[in-house]
Amino acid sequence: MTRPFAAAVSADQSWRGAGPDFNRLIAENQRRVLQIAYGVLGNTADAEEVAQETFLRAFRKFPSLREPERVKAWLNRIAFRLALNRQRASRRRAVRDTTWHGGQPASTGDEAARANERLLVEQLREQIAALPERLRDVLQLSLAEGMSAGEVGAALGLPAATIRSRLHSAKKLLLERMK
Amino acid sequence: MSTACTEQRERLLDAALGQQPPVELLAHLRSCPRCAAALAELRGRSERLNSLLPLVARHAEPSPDFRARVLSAADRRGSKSPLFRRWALAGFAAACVAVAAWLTYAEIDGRREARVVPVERIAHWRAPSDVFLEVAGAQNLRTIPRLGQSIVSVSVTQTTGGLK
Repeated sequence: MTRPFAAAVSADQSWRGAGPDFNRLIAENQRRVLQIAYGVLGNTADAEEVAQETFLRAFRKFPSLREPERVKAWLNRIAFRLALNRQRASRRRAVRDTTWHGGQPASTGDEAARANERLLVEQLREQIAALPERLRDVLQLSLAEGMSAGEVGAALGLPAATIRSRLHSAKKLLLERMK
Repeated sequence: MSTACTEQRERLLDAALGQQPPVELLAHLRSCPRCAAALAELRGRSERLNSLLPLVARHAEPSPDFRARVLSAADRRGSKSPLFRRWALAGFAAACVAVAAWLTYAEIDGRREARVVPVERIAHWRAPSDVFLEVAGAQNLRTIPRLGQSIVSVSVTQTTGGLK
Protein backbone atom coordinates (compact mmCIF):
# COMPACT_ATOMS: atom_id res chain seq x y z
CA MET A 1 0.00 0.00 0.00
CA THR A 2 1.40 3.39 -0.92
CA ARG A 3 1.47 6.11 1.68
CA PRO A 4 -0.40 9.28 0.65
CA PHE A 5 2.05 11.96 -0.40
CA ALA A 6 0.29 14.68 1.59
CA ALA A 7 0.55 12.55 4.72
CA ALA A 8 4.21 11.92 4.11
CA VAL A 9 5.09 15.56 3.69
CA SER A 10 2.88 16.69 6.53
CA ALA A 11 5.17 14.68 8.74
CA ASP A 12 7.96 16.83 7.26
CA GLN A 13 9.66 13.85 5.69
CA SER A 14 11.50 13.82 2.40
CA TRP A 15 9.52 12.21 -0.34
CA ARG A 16 11.07 8.86 -1.21
CA GLY A 17 14.16 10.12 0.55
CA ALA A 18 15.21 12.13 -2.50
CA GLY A 19 16.53 15.70 -2.29
CA PRO A 20 15.08 18.54 -0.25
CA ASP A 21 11.66 18.25 1.25
CA PHE A 22 8.93 19.09 -1.24
CA ASN A 23 6.72 20.55 1.43
CA ARG A 24 9.46 22.95 2.41
CA LEU A 25 10.09 23.73 -1.24
CA ILE A 26 6.51 24.99 -1.59
CA ALA A 27 6.65 26.92 1.67
CA GLU A 28 9.85 28.71 0.73
CA ASN A 29 8.91 29.57 -2.84
CA GLN A 30 5.13 29.88 -3.05
CA ARG A 31 4.97 33.62 -2.45
CA ARG A 32 7.56 34.53 -5.05
CA VAL A 33 6.21 32.05 -7.60
CA LEU A 34 2.70 33.43 -7.14
CA GLN A 35 3.94 37.00 -7.50
CA ILE A 36 5.78 36.16 -10.71
CA ALA A 37 2.57 34.74 -12.14
CA TYR A 38 0.51 37.62 -10.78
CA GLY A 39 2.89 40.18 -12.25
CA VAL A 40 2.06 38.81 -15.68
CA LEU A 41 -1.60 37.88 -15.26
CA GLY A 42 -2.95 40.42 -12.75
CA ASN A 43 -5.45 37.92 -11.41
CA THR A 44 -5.00 35.92 -8.20
CA ALA A 45 -7.07 32.91 -9.29
CA ASP A 46 -5.14 32.54 -12.54
CA ALA A 47 -1.84 33.19 -10.76
CA GLU A 48 -2.61 30.49 -8.19
CA GLU A 49 -3.38 28.00 -10.93
CA VAL A 50 -0.08 28.80 -12.62
CA ALA A 51 1.75 28.56 -9.29
CA GLN A 52 0.11 25.20 -8.59
CA GLU A 53 1.07 23.87 -12.02
CA THR A 54 4.63 25.11 -11.45
CA PHE A 55 4.91 23.13 -8.22
CA LEU A 56 3.33 20.06 -9.78
CA ARG A 57 5.97 20.14 -12.49
CA ALA A 58 8.58 20.51 -9.79
CA PHE A 59 6.99 17.53 -8.06
CA ARG A 60 7.50 15.39 -11.16
CA LYS A 61 11.10 16.55 -11.45
CA PHE A 62 11.66 16.52 -7.71
CA PRO A 63 14.08 13.59 -7.51
CA SER A 64 16.40 15.29 -10.01
CA LEU A 65 16.13 18.81 -8.51
CA ARG A 66 18.73 18.82 -5.79
CA GLU A 67 20.61 22.12 -5.71
CA PRO A 68 18.49 24.76 -3.94
CA GLU A 69 19.71 27.68 -6.06
CA ARG A 70 19.01 25.85 -9.29
CA VAL A 71 15.61 24.81 -7.99
CA LYS A 72 14.74 28.43 -7.31
CA ALA A 73 15.83 29.53 -10.78
CA TRP A 74 13.98 26.59 -12.30
CA LEU A 75 10.77 27.47 -10.45
CA ASN A 76 11.04 31.14 -11.45
CA ARG A 77 11.53 30.25 -15.09
CA ILE A 78 8.69 27.73 -15.22
CA ALA A 79 6.28 30.04 -13.39
CA PHE A 80 7.06 32.91 -15.74
CA ARG A 81 6.70 30.81 -18.88
CA LEU A 82 3.48 29.21 -17.73
CA ALA A 83 2.08 32.64 -16.89
CA LEU A 84 3.05 34.02 -20.30
CA ASN A 85 1.52 30.98 -22.03
CA ARG A 86 -1.67 31.40 -20.08
CA GLN A 87 -1.82 35.09 -20.86
CA ARG A 88 -1.28 34.50 -24.56
CA ALA A 89 -3.82 31.69 -24.63
CA SER A 90 -6.67 33.35 -22.84
CA ARG A 91 -6.06 37.08 -23.02
CA ARG A 92 -7.88 37.48 -19.75
CA ARG A 93 -6.18 40.69 -18.81
CA ALA A 94 -9.53 42.38 -18.42
CA VAL A 95 -10.43 40.00 -15.58
CA ARG A 96 -8.25 41.50 -12.92
CA ASP A 97 -8.55 41.63 -9.21
CA THR A 98 -10.63 44.36 -7.77
CA THR A 99 -10.23 43.32 -4.14
CA TRP A 100 -6.82 44.50 -3.08
CA HIS A 101 -5.65 44.18 0.44
CA GLY A 102 -8.93 42.56 1.34
CA GLY A 103 -9.66 41.97 5.00
CA GLN A 104 -8.03 45.15 6.24
CA PRO A 105 -10.49 47.53 7.90
CA ALA A 106 -10.44 50.93 6.27
CA SER A 107 -12.19 54.25 6.51
CA THR A 108 -13.88 55.95 3.58
CA GLY A 109 -10.82 58.13 3.00
CA ASP A 110 -8.59 55.06 2.84
CA GLU A 111 -11.01 53.44 0.43
CA ALA A 112 -10.78 56.43 -1.90
CA ALA A 113 -6.99 56.46 -1.70
CA ARG A 114 -6.90 52.72 -2.38
CA ALA A 115 -9.24 53.06 -5.34
CA ASN A 116 -6.99 55.76 -6.75
CA GLU A 117 -3.92 53.62 -6.17
CA ARG A 118 -5.63 50.67 -7.87
CA LEU A 119 -6.41 52.83 -10.86
CA LEU A 120 -2.80 54.02 -11.11
CA VAL A 121 -1.48 50.47 -10.87
CA GLU A 122 -3.88 49.36 -13.59
CA GLN A 123 -2.63 52.16 -15.82
CA LEU A 124 0.92 51.16 -15.03
CA ARG A 125 0.12 47.54 -15.88
CA GLU A 126 -1.17 48.67 -19.25
CA GLN A 127 2.03 50.62 -19.83
CA ILE A 128 4.11 47.58 -18.89
CA ALA A 129 2.10 45.43 -21.29
CA ALA A 130 2.91 47.90 -24.07
CA LEU A 131 6.68 47.68 -23.50
CA PRO A 132 8.88 45.81 -25.98
CA GLU A 133 8.99 42.12 -25.03
CA ARG A 134 12.65 42.01 -24.04
CA LEU A 135 12.13 44.87 -21.58
CA ARG A 136 8.72 43.69 -20.38
CA ASP A 137 9.99 40.20 -19.49
CA VAL A 138 12.77 41.60 -17.37
CA LEU A 139 10.52 44.11 -15.61
CA GLN A 140 7.73 41.63 -14.89
CA LEU A 141 10.14 39.12 -13.38
CA SER A 142 11.84 41.81 -11.32
CA LEU A 143 8.55 42.83 -9.77
CA ALA A 144 8.29 39.71 -7.61
CA GLU A 145 9.63 40.18 -4.12
CA GLY A 146 13.26 39.35 -3.60
CA MET A 147 14.12 38.89 -7.26
CA SER A 148 17.65 40.18 -7.79
CA ALA A 149 19.13 40.96 -11.20
CA GLY A 150 21.08 37.71 -10.95
CA GLU A 151 17.95 35.68 -10.28
CA VAL A 152 16.03 37.33 -13.12
CA GLY A 153 19.04 36.66 -15.34
CA ALA A 154 19.12 33.02 -14.29
CA ALA A 155 15.45 32.66 -15.16
CA LEU A 156 15.86 34.32 -18.57
CA GLY A 157 19.31 33.00 -19.38
CA LEU A 158 20.87 36.48 -19.45
CA PRO A 159 23.77 38.10 -17.55
CA ALA A 160 22.88 40.25 -14.54
CA ALA A 161 24.41 43.33 -16.22
CA THR A 162 22.03 42.94 -19.17
CA ILE A 163 19.11 42.63 -16.76
CA ARG A 164 20.10 45.85 -14.97
CA SER A 165 20.48 47.67 -18.27
CA ARG A 166 17.11 46.47 -19.58
CA LEU A 167 15.42 47.29 -16.30
CA HIS A 168 16.73 50.82 -16.53
CA SER A 169 15.56 51.11 -20.14
CA ALA A 170 12.12 49.80 -19.19
CA LYS A 171 11.80 52.34 -16.40
CA LYS A 172 12.91 55.12 -18.71
CA LEU A 173 10.18 54.24 -21.17
CA LEU A 174 7.59 54.07 -18.41
CA LEU A 175 8.75 57.37 -17.03
CA GLU A 176 8.35 59.03 -20.41
CA ARG A 177 4.88 57.59 -20.88
CA MET A 178 3.63 58.38 -17.36
CA LYS A 179 1.43 61.43 -17.03
CA MET B 1 12.52 73.62 -26.63
CA SER B 2 15.99 74.21 -28.07
CA THR B 3 18.22 71.61 -29.72
CA ALA B 4 20.40 71.60 -26.61
CA CYS B 5 17.36 70.74 -24.47
CA THR B 6 16.40 67.88 -26.82
CA GLU B 7 19.94 66.52 -26.62
CA GLN B 8 19.72 66.44 -22.82
CA ARG B 9 16.40 64.59 -22.71
CA GLU B 10 17.93 61.09 -22.29
CA ARG B 11 20.29 62.38 -19.61
CA LEU B 12 17.37 63.96 -17.78
CA LEU B 13 15.57 60.62 -17.69
CA ASP B 14 18.71 58.83 -16.49
CA ALA B 15 19.20 61.42 -13.78
CA ALA B 16 15.55 61.16 -12.74
CA LEU B 17 16.03 57.41 -12.31
CA GLY B 18 18.91 57.99 -9.92
CA GLN B 19 21.98 58.09 -12.14
CA GLN B 20 24.64 60.66 -11.39
CA PRO B 21 24.02 63.61 -13.80
CA PRO B 22 26.96 64.12 -16.17
CA VAL B 23 28.86 67.39 -16.25
CA GLU B 24 27.23 68.42 -19.55
CA LEU B 25 23.76 68.07 -18.07
CA LEU B 26 24.68 69.98 -14.92
CA ALA B 27 26.06 72.81 -17.06
CA HIS B 28 22.90 72.83 -19.17
CA LEU B 29 20.66 72.84 -16.10
CA ARG B 30 22.41 75.91 -14.74
CA SER B 31 21.53 77.84 -17.87
CA CYS B 32 18.10 76.31 -18.61
CA PRO B 33 15.38 76.72 -15.97
CA ARG B 34 12.96 74.83 -18.21
CA CYS B 35 15.07 71.64 -18.12
CA ALA B 36 15.71 72.09 -14.40
CA ALA B 37 11.95 72.14 -13.86
CA ALA B 38 11.55 69.15 -16.16
CA LEU B 39 14.11 67.22 -14.09
CA ALA B 40 12.26 68.02 -10.89
CA GLU B 41 9.01 66.86 -12.46
CA LEU B 42 10.63 63.65 -13.78
CA ARG B 43 12.08 62.91 -10.33
CA GLY B 44 8.56 63.16 -8.88
CA ARG B 45 7.30 60.76 -11.53
CA SER B 46 10.19 58.41 -10.83
CA GLU B 47 9.31 58.30 -7.13
CA ARG B 48 5.69 57.55 -8.00
CA LEU B 49 6.79 54.85 -10.43
CA ASN B 50 9.03 53.23 -7.84
CA SER B 51 6.22 53.21 -5.28
CA LEU B 52 3.68 51.78 -7.74
CA LEU B 53 5.82 49.12 -9.42
CA PRO B 54 5.95 46.81 -6.40
CA LEU B 55 2.16 46.94 -6.19
CA VAL B 56 1.86 45.40 -9.64
CA ALA B 57 2.85 42.03 -8.17
CA ARG B 58 3.88 42.14 -4.56
CA HIS B 59 0.52 42.50 -2.90
CA ALA B 60 -0.39 39.05 -4.26
CA GLU B 61 -0.35 36.45 -1.49
CA PRO B 62 -1.04 32.74 -1.79
CA SER B 63 -4.29 31.68 -0.20
CA PRO B 64 -3.96 29.90 3.17
CA ASP B 65 -4.82 26.50 1.70
CA PHE B 66 -2.56 26.86 -1.34
CA ARG B 67 0.10 24.45 -0.11
CA ALA B 68 -2.48 21.84 0.92
CA ARG B 69 -4.06 22.05 -2.54
CA VAL B 70 -0.72 21.60 -4.29
CA LEU B 71 0.14 18.62 -2.09
CA SER B 72 -3.25 17.08 -2.66
CA ALA B 73 -2.92 17.53 -6.44
CA ALA B 74 0.62 16.12 -6.29
CA ASP B 75 -0.72 13.16 -4.35
CA ARG B 76 -3.37 12.51 -6.99
CA ARG B 77 -0.85 12.73 -9.81
CA GLY B 78 1.74 10.81 -7.83
CA SER B 79 -0.61 7.90 -7.22
CA LYS B 80 -1.34 7.56 -10.93
CA SER B 81 2.00 8.08 -12.50
CA PRO B 82 4.16 5.32 -10.93
CA LEU B 83 2.16 2.48 -12.52
CA PHE B 84 2.38 4.02 -15.96
CA ARG B 85 6.00 4.90 -15.38
CA ARG B 86 6.75 1.35 -14.27
CA TRP B 87 5.17 -0.10 -17.40
CA ALA B 88 6.92 2.41 -19.63
CA LEU B 89 10.23 1.64 -17.96
CA ALA B 90 9.65 -2.11 -18.27
CA GLY B 91 8.87 -1.72 -21.98
CA PHE B 92 11.89 0.44 -22.54
CA ALA B 93 14.13 -1.98 -20.64
CA ALA B 94 12.79 -4.94 -22.66
CA ALA B 95 13.43 -3.07 -25.90
CA CYS B 96 16.96 -2.23 -24.76
CA VAL B 97 17.67 -5.86 -23.87
CA ALA B 98 16.33 -7.04 -27.25
CA VAL B 99 18.46 -4.52 -29.15
CA ALA B 100 21.53 -5.37 -27.09
CA ALA B 101 20.98 -9.11 -27.66
CA TRP B 102 20.56 -8.62 -31.40
CA LEU B 103 23.67 -6.46 -31.61
CA THR B 104 25.67 -9.01 -29.62
CA TYR B 105 24.47 -11.88 -31.82
CA ALA B 106 25.21 -9.91 -34.98
CA GLU B 107 28.67 -9.13 -33.69
CA ILE B 108 29.42 -12.77 -32.77
CA ASP B 109 27.95 -14.05 -36.04
CA GLY B 110 29.94 -11.52 -38.00
CA ARG B 111 33.14 -12.58 -36.29
CA ARG B 112 32.41 -16.30 -36.85
CA GLU B 113 31.61 -15.70 -40.48
CA ALA B 114 34.82 -13.76 -40.92
CA ARG B 115 36.69 -16.73 -39.48
CA VAL B 116 34.84 -19.56 -41.30
CA VAL B 117 34.19 -18.21 -44.77
CA PRO B 118 37.67 -18.67 -46.24
CA VAL B 119 37.70 -22.31 -45.07
CA GLU B 120 34.27 -22.98 -46.51
CA ARG B 121 35.20 -21.30 -49.75
CA ILE B 122 38.19 -23.60 -50.18
CA ALA B 123 36.03 -26.64 -49.36
CA HIS B 124 33.40 -25.69 -51.89
CA TRP B 125 35.79 -24.63 -54.60
CA ARG B 126 35.36 -26.38 -57.91
CA ALA B 127 37.32 -26.31 -61.08
CA PRO B 128 35.71 -24.29 -63.87
CA SER B 129 35.31 -27.44 -66.00
CA ASP B 130 33.25 -29.13 -63.26
CA VAL B 131 31.07 -26.12 -63.05
CA PHE B 132 30.62 -26.15 -66.80
CA LEU B 133 29.51 -29.81 -66.74
CA GLU B 134 26.85 -28.94 -64.17
CA VAL B 135 25.02 -26.68 -66.58
CA ALA B 136 21.89 -27.62 -68.52
CA GLY B 137 23.78 -28.97 -71.51
CA ALA B 138 25.82 -31.43 -69.46
CA GLN B 139 23.62 -34.37 -70.41
CA ASN B 140 24.17 -33.69 -74.12
CA LEU B 141 27.91 -33.57 -73.60
CA ARG B 142 27.72 -36.95 -71.94
CA THR B 143 25.75 -38.45 -74.80
CA ILE B 144 27.71 -37.17 -77.75
CA PRO B 145 27.96 -40.10 -80.23
CA ARG B 146 31.40 -41.37 -81.12
CA LEU B 147 32.71 -41.27 -84.56
CA GLY B 148 30.52 -43.42 -86.81
CA GLN B 149 27.67 -43.65 -84.25
CA SER B 150 24.27 -42.07 -84.61
CA ILE B 151 22.96 -39.90 -81.81
CA VAL B 152 19.83 -42.05 -81.77
CA SER B 153 21.74 -45.26 -81.21
CA VAL B 154 23.75 -44.06 -78.19
CA SER B 155 22.43 -45.82 -75.09
CA VAL B 156 22.20 -44.18 -71.78
CA THR B 157 24.08 -47.03 -70.07
CA GLN B 158 27.04 -46.46 -72.36
CA THR B 159 27.58 -42.90 -71.26
CA THR B 160 26.44 -42.72 -67.64
CA GLY B 161 29.14 -43.01 -65.12
CA GLY B 162 31.88 -42.41 -67.59
CA LEU B 163 32.14 -38.76 -67.08
CA LYS B 164 31.37 -38.50 -63.43
